[in-house]
Amino acid sequence: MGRDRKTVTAVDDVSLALRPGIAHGIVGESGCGKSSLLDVLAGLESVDGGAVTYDGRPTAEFSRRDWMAFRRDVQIVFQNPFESLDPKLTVREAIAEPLAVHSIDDRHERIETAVERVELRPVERYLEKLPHQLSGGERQRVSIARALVLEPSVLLADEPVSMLDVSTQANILSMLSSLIDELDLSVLYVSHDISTVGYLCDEVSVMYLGEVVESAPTNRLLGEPAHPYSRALIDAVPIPDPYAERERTALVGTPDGGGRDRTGCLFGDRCPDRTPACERRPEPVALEPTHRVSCHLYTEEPTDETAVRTPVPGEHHGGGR
Amino acid sequence: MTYRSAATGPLETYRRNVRRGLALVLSDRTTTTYLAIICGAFVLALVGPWIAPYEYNQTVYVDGRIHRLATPSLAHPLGTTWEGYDVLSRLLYGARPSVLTGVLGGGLIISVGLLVGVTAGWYGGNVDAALMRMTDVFYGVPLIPFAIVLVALLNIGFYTSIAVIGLLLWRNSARVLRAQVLQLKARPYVKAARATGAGNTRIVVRHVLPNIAPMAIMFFALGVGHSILIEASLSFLGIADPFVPSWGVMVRNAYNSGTMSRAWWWALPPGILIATLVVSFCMLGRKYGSMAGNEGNGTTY
Amino acid sequence: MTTPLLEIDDLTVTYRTDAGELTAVSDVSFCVEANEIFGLVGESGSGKSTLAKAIIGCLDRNGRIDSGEIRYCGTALTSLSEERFRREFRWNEIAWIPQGSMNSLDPLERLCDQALEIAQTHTDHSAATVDDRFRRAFDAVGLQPDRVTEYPHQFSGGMKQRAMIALALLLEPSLIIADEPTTALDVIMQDQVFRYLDEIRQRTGVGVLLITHDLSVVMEECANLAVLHSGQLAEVGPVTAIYDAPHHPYTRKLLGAFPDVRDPDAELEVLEGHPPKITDGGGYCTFATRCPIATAECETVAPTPQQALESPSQYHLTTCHRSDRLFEHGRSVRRSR
Repeated sequence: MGRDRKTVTAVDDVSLALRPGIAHGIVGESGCGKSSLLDVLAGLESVDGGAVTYDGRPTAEFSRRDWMAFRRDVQIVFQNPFESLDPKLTVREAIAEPLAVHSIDDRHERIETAVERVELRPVERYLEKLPHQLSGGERQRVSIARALVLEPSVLLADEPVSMLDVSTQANILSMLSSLIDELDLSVLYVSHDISTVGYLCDEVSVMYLGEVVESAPTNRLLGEPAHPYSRALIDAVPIPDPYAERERTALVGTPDGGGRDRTGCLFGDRCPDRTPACERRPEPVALEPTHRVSCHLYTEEPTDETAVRTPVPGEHHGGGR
Repeated sequence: MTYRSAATGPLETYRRNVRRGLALVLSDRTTTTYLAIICGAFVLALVGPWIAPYEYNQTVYVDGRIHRLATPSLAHPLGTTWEGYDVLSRLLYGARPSVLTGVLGGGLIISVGLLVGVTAGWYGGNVDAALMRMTDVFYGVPLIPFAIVLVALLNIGFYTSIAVIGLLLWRNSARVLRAQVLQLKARPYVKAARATGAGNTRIVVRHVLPNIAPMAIMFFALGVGHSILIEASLSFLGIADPFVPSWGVMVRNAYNSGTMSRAWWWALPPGILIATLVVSFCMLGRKYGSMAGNEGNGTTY
Repeated sequence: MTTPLLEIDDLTVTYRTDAGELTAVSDVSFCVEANEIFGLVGESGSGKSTLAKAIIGCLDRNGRIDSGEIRYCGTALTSLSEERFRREFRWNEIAWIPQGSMNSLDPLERLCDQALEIAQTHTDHSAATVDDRFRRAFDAVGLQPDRVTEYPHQFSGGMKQRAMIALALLLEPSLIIADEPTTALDVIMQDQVFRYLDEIRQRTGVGVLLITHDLSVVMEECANLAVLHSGQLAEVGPVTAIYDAPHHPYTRKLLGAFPDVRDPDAELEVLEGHPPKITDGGGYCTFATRCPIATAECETVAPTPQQALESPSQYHLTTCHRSDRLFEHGRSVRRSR
C-alpha cells in the first residue's frame, strides 16, 4: 500500500507512544480517564497541557489540511454498540459517510470491501439494514467497517467488545486481531478488561486516575506485573478454569477523583504495599528498556527497608496448574 | 454530486424517515384516529367555502325578516345566528382560518425553536448562554397581556395574531431541543463523524436533525394545537380580526350576542371542533413522540 | 436425598408474538441446592432471563409456562396463586436482582425508603426492623450502614450493584436469582461484588442462581452450572466435570471463547451466528445450525438429556446426539492447552 507509518503520542500527564504497526492496550478501571484520553488523541477534545504529536508534528500546529489528512488516517471505534451507529442511517449510509467527507469516489466497491472485511456476509443482506435490525455484534462490526473504509493507519478503539456477549466478543476480537495484521494497523485499544487487551495487544499501559503507572510488552506485564495496581487489575480477572485458585482483589472502593490533587502517589490511598515513601509522587523507572513503572517499590533509594520487594513471577494468579 | 446518486444522500434518508414515521403513526389505532381527524380538518379547510350552502356573512331572510336564532332544521342543520347567518356555513368557512392559524403558528414555533435550540445546543459556550438567557426572558412574558399589547401596537390582524403566538411559544421547544442536541453531541456516532472530519453542517443535517425530528414533530403538533387554542382565546377577548370567521370568532360572537344560553347550536359546534382538533394535534404529537422515542432503542434479540 | 432448594422440571415457556409462538425455554431441568452458587450460562437470546422471570413469576404478559414445574423446597410454585406467591415467596424466600438493576433503583427515593417499600409490600415488619435489617445488609455487602439514607446517584456503579444485593438480602431469602449482576461493571468492581456475595453465601447458606454469559465467572464462582442454548439445555453438571470434559459442542466452543490472562496468545474459539429463535415448536437440536458435527438426526430429532460418558459426576448430563463421538474425538482437549 505504501502508506506512511505514523506515530501518535500524547505527552505530559499521560505519556505514551504508539509506534507504527503496534497494537497498544490501555487498561484501567472505569473513570481512570481512558476514554477522555482517546477523545484527545482523536482530536475531539483539546489538550489542556502537553501535546499530541502525530507523525512527528504536534497537532496544535496542524492546518486545516493537516487535520483532514489526520482525520482520514486516524479512526475511532466506540464502546456501546447501541450508540455507536446513528439509528437513522442504514449500514450503507453509515459507511458511506467517511467517504463522502473525504470526497472519495468508487464508493460502492469500497463500502462492499469494508463490509466484507468485517465478515458480514452476504454483503447485500446488510447494506440496507438499520441499526435496530442488527444484533450488538453486527453493529460493532459495522462500526469497525466504518472506521476501516478510509483505510486508516491508526485505529483508536474504546472497549469495542465490552458490552457484547462472550461468544460475540471472541468473534470480534479474533476478527480485529487478523485485521490488524492484514491491514498493518497501529491500534490503541482501551479497556478495563486486561484479558481482552492481552489477547489483542503487543504492549500494555496501565492507567490510574489519568496517569500511566506501568507500561510493558503484554507477556511481560501479564507475567510479571510490577505496579501494585497492575497486579490488582490482573488479579481481578476471572479465570475460566475451576481449578485455578485466584485470590480476590485486595482493592476496595473506587478511584478517588480527588486523588489528582494529592501530592503523593495517586494510588496511595488504595495501595496494599503503601510505604512512607508514597507521600511523594513516584518517578517512572525503567525495569527493562521496554518495561517502565512509576512506583516507589522500584525507585533506587528506598526510604524504608520494607519498601524493597521483588515481584515473584506467577505469584498472583494461582500459578497455573 | 456523485454522493447523491449513490442513494446514500440526505434526501433518501429524509424520505425514508417520513415513510417510517407515517408507518409508525398508522400502526396504532389511536394515532390513526387522530391523524384521520386532522386530515378531515384539512379537507374542510380546503373545500369548506365551496360546499357551504350559504356565504359566511349572508343574512338569511324568511318572509322579509331576518331569520334570527333559528333552531336546527333541514334548511339550517345547525340553525342560524342572531344576525341570521347559517351556522353550518360559518363553521365550514371557519375551518380554513382555524387550521391556517394552527399550521402557521405551529410552523413558526418549531422554526424558531429549532433555530434557537439547535444553534444553542450545537455551538454551546457563549452562544448557548446568550440564546438560553433570551429564552428565559421569553419564559417570563405572560402570553395574553403580551399579545394584547403587541396587537394593539401592530393593529389587529389575522396574521399579526399568528405571529404573536409563534414569536412567544417557541420557548418550550427551543429549550427541549437544545437538551436533545446536547445529548446527541456526546453520542459516539456524532463523535465518530467528527473524528472522520465531518463538518458542522454535515453533522447537523445528517445526524442531529433526523434524530431530533421525532421531538420536533411532537413540538410542531403541540404548537399547532396551542396556536389554535390561543387564537380562539385572543378572538374571544376581541383582539383578533373579527372579520375573519374563524371558530374562535364564532364563539366570541355567540357570547357577545348574549344569547348563548338559548342558542346552544351557535357556540357549541365551533367549541367542540376547536377542542377536538386541539386534542387531536396534541395527543398525536405526544403519542408519536413517545412511540418514535421508544423505537429503535429496543434490542434485536 | 433431601429436597433441593429449587427444582426446575421439564420447564417449557413460550411467548405469543407477531411471528407466532416463540419457544423461549424448552424442556429445561436442573436444580439449585442451598448454600451453592449455581451458574446458568448462555448468550443473549438463550432464554436465561426468561427462565429467571418464570421462577419469580414475572413473565411478560405474552409469555406463559406451557408445561413443567418449578418447585421451591418441594412446593410447586407454578400452581400457586399470584397473591400467595407474592405474600409468601417473592422477596421473602426468593429475591431477584434483575438485569441492569443498578439502573432500576428509583433515583428520587432514598435507598432506605426503597427498602421499606419492598418490606411493606411483602411482610408486616415495622419500619424500625426494616431499617435495622437494611443497615445490616449494607454492612454485609461492604457498604457503610450509614449510607442507607443516601440517594442512588451518590453511589458508584459497583456500589449501586451492591446496594441492589443488599435490597435482595433484606428479607433474608433462601434463594437469590442474580441476572447478570456484574456485566456493566469493570473487573475490579466485579471481583468486589462476588467477594461479598460469596461471603454472604458462606455465612447464611443462601442459594444463588447466577445468570450470566460470562463462563469464566461461573467457572470461578460456581460449583455447578447449566448451559442454555436457544431455550434448550445443552449441558448441566459440576463445573470441574464440564471443564475437564465438555460433552456438548456448544460448551466446548464457549470454553474456548475466553481470553485467558495466563495465556494471552491462545487463539479464541469462534462461534458463528446467533442462537436461532424457535417459532415452530422445536423438535430438533437448536444448536444444529451452528454445530460443526451436526448430522441429519440433529435437525429432525430433539436430543434428550443423558448421562455424560465417563464423567466423574453422576449429575453431569448432556443433551447432544453426538456427545459420544465428541467425547472420544476430543478427549480432555482443555488439558492440552
